[in-house]
Parts: sequence; structure tokens; C-alpha cells
Amino acid sequence: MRLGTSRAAKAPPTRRWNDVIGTLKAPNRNAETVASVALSVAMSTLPEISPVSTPIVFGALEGIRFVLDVQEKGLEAAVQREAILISERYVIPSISEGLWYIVSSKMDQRFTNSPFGRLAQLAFTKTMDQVMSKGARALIAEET
Amino acid sequence: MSVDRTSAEANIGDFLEKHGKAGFLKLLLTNYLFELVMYYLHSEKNPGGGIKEDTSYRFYVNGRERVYTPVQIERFKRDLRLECSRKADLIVRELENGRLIDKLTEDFIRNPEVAQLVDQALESVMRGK
Repeated sequence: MRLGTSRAAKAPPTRRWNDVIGTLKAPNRNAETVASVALSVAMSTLPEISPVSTPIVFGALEGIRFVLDVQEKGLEAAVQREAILISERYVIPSISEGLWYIVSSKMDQRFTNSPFGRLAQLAFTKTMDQVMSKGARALIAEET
Repeated sequence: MSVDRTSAEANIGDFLEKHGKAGFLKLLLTNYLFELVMYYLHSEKNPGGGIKEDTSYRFYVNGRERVYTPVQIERFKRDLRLECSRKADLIVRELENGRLIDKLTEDFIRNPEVAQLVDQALESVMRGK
């Protein structure tokens, strides 16, 4: 199916995916059930978890290292240390993208260029954008 | 330093002061799990695997072939995100129980045993083990 200029991935190759479709078709579909069944079935088709975990673990390490560096030495020093080029017009997105470039350079390219690598990139840059633009409210908003 | 840089620095400090490293991990994992869920829920049929319907269709059209309203779809996405936040919290708690969060550094994660523990925490929540 064509979705704009992108192409949807094929469903995981297991008949158990029909269970996910069933949860979506349920008269009062329940997000908790849909998310749990979808993740469980999708992950069960992967021989190992590392293609899913590696990109986000590397992102977590770099993100935590960077924010602690900012807290300790200030943003200017942290950015200079990473040699991140900041766009004066798009300060926050340029820092987030620059940091992901560093994350991806530390990983095997088969992880970076995989679908999970691209999803991790979206999650990482969104997280950095949220933290830098909203502060503590970024997480509080998740819990309400 | 421009105002934006000043604000970004202050916001990072504010976030860490209130939520710490565990909070950063929770937010990151919530965003990642949500992207994963949305990716899988927008997949197309796979006849070779016995899947004859697109979840990308079923996300927007109910079992009676009626299209969900934009409000219903946004509410469902918000609920999915909330569930991802709960799962992220479980993963962070598992990492905390293993006393792994304070040790999350690049050198540490290159230790195969540690990497395996982190993978297990993710896997146990995502696969529902």
C-alpha cells in the first residue's frame, strides 16, 4: 500500500499477526491490548532482540552523556566538545540531529540504516527536542 | 549565547533536576516504543505469512467498515502512547533493579554481559515474558 511517498512494511511473517488485526477490529478496541499484542507478536518473529535494542541503547548512552555534560559544563562547552554545528535559526533541532549523527557513527551501519535505526533516530531527536524545549514538563506531559 | 541556547541549557538542567537519568531514559523509551508500535500498526498484508489484511487500514477503519473520526483516532494514539509510557516505566524499573542506570556508559555497555542484561530488560517487557 502506498502511503504518500513512503511504503508500509509487510506485516510480520506469522499467522499470530491476525491476533493483532483482531484487537484492532474489536468493537471497543483497547490501546493497552493492541500495543501489548502487537509488540509481543512482532518481537517473537525476530531471532534476537539486538537489532531493536542496539540503536536505542546507543542513543540513550549519548543522550545521557550529553545532558550530564551540559549540566556540568554548560551547553556551549558540551556542544564544542562534540563539534556540533548549530543553526542559529534552528538551535534545538540542529543539536538533536548533530547528536544523532554522533550516535550513528558509533554503531555498526547495519543498525543505523535498519528500520529500527530510523525509528530510534526519530525517538532520539524527538526526546532531545522535548527536553531542550520543555524541560521537566516534557515528562510530566507523558504521565497525564 | 542566544536566548534559545540559554533556554535549552536551562531546560536540560530543569529536566535532570526533576527527573534525573531515569526520567531521560523513560522519555526516550516511550518515544521509541511508540514509534515501534506505530510502525507495526501501519504494516501491509503479508499473504506469504498468512496475513490477509493491512493493519494500516484497520488502524483507521473499524470492524464494521466505518472510518474512525479524527478525534477517535487521536484519542487512540494518545492511549497507545500512554501504554508505551507504562512499558517504558517497567523497563526503567528493571534497569534500576539491576542497578544498571547509574552505570550506563559506553565502556560499560561494550561489556557483553551488561549488554545482555539491558537486552533482557527490554525483551522481557516488549515480548511480555
